[in-house]
Amino acid sequence: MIDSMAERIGRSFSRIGAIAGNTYREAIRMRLFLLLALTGVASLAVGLFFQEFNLGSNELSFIADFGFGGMTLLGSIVAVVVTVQLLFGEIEHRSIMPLLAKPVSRGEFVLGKVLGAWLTICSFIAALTIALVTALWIRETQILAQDSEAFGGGRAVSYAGVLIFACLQCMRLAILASISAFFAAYATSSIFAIFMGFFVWIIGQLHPVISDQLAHSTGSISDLLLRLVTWLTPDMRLFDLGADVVGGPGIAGAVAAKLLLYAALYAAFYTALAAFALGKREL
Amino acid sequence: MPAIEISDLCKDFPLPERGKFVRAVDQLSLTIEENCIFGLLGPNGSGKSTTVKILLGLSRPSRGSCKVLGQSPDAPSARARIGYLPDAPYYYRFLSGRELVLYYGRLLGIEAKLAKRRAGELLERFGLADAADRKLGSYSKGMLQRLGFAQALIGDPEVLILDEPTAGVDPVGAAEVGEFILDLKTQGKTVLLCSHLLSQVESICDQVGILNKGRLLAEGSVADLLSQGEADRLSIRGVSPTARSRIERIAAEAGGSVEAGGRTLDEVFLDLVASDDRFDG
Ligand SMILES: Nc1ncnc2c1ncn2[C@@H]1O[C@H](COP(=O)(O)OP(=O)(O)O)[C@@H](O)[C@H]1O
Ligand SMILES: [Mg+2]
Repeated sequence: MIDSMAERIGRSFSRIGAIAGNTYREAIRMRLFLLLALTGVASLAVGLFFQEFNLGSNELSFIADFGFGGMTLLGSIVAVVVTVQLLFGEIEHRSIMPLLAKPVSRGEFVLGKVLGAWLTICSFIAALTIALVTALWIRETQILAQDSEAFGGGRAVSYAGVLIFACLQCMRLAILASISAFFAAYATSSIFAIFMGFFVWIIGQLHPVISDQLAHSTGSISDLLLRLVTWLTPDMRLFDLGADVVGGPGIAGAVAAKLLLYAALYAAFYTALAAFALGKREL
Repeated sequence: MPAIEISDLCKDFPLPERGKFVRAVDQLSLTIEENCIFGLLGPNGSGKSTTVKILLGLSRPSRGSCKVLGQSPDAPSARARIGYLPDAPYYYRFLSGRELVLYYGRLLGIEAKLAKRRAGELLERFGLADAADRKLGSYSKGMLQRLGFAQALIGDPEVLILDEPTAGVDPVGAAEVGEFILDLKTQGKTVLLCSHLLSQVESICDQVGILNKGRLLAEGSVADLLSQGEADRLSIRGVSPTARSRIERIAAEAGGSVEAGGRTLDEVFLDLVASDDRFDG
């Protein structure tokens, strides 16, 4: 009994893996990646362009800030668009029909799609990270070649910090991807789903403002609604710790673990919601 | 145990106006025995694809129930034993034929080596060996249809549900499809095929059901349906042209008529549908 249970879970994972793999393959073959790679190379070029100015160590943190900003912004756009495209596209082109006629549950389908989309998003973040690290390293080396004491005898950039920031972004985008998947599973047009994905992202960025508003709460209905909104949407700003990880105090393991849990819970909640919406949907 | 059992099946789709709905399938009851080729025939919009979707667990019935191989189609283990040819090639353009078949093989949990061997054999059998590694975007309509058969068979299913297998295929292709289906029967499989093109399928079906507006108008073997309501018709063979003109004259005097050829299933079908529509109107 236990054995057959384990076997069944194993087979379920294998199906989810197959769907995620096929989704990732679609992203690669549909030239989505070309777009992503071009963005990466373009940001590298922009980074190198700054060698025209000589701002010393300030220049490096400027490049890092610029790279982090690009990662956050482009990453969010890519997360919403790619997830909606990959999930809604399958419903729209009805390739979901022969797929679900196989022994695949709608929950497995949604999970596979979200994982495949997330893999795509993480690859994009990885490309941007490589571009950013390369730009930082080239510039740092150039500055050191001119003046080996420029950074007080050592190197200036915390490359581990850059990697940590990239990982935090991947966690944040897992939430955004699952939110987009929910709207894609529910929507009748991809424009609507993309719009809603961006909408929730913006609300997620506005959490500090909303909290401010709620601090002076008068207990009105609108405040109650606002509170509900802050529970339902994740606080996207929690993950923007760029200043801490590069040149700052870094982040504690406990904070990182908390963020990981936060992301996992929200992603699981919205993926479950997406599976529920697809389950109710007439295909 | 019958391969497919449908009892009192109804499916309503809500319309944009509140409280209104279309009934796509109306109290459909059908039993399809094992190793039978059953043709579900009906004009466009008669509810064939909706019935198929319910049989595959892709859509929930509003009322009634159905069983495939004794199991509800909601059970994944039931769907593993059904092969499905969709009514249009809803496949991934970015995959090659072989990749598509292997992908579905993985979803069915078929061991990789076996899947590879079977995929090769199926692609060969459906004349796609040369095109197996080309992207589906470059396939012709007939090739996609044959690939549809290959993917439906990768799990070696006992029941095949084919939605419009000859639609959009030229007559030569349609004849080929007929051969594929007869081949499946000799392998012991049960086939449910839906079509609005009667002439292309009547010769291969053991049993047919005629569907209009979601209702089953008639069911039985092709021969049964052809002989229904035929008591006042005579079939005369082997008469000379002069004898024929005499017979025609006598028939005309008696208020009847003589026509060339017997009744075809097409005629039966059109009669049934026309009288059903008249009854409604
Ligand atoms: N998802 C849906 N929403 C609303 N109406 C539908 C839907 N699917 C099918 N129908 C309606 O159900 C009827 C039967 O359609 P269908 O089963 O596709 O017929 P067939 O396959 O015989 O051509 C049609 O009137 C069609 O408009
Ligand atoms: Mg149809």
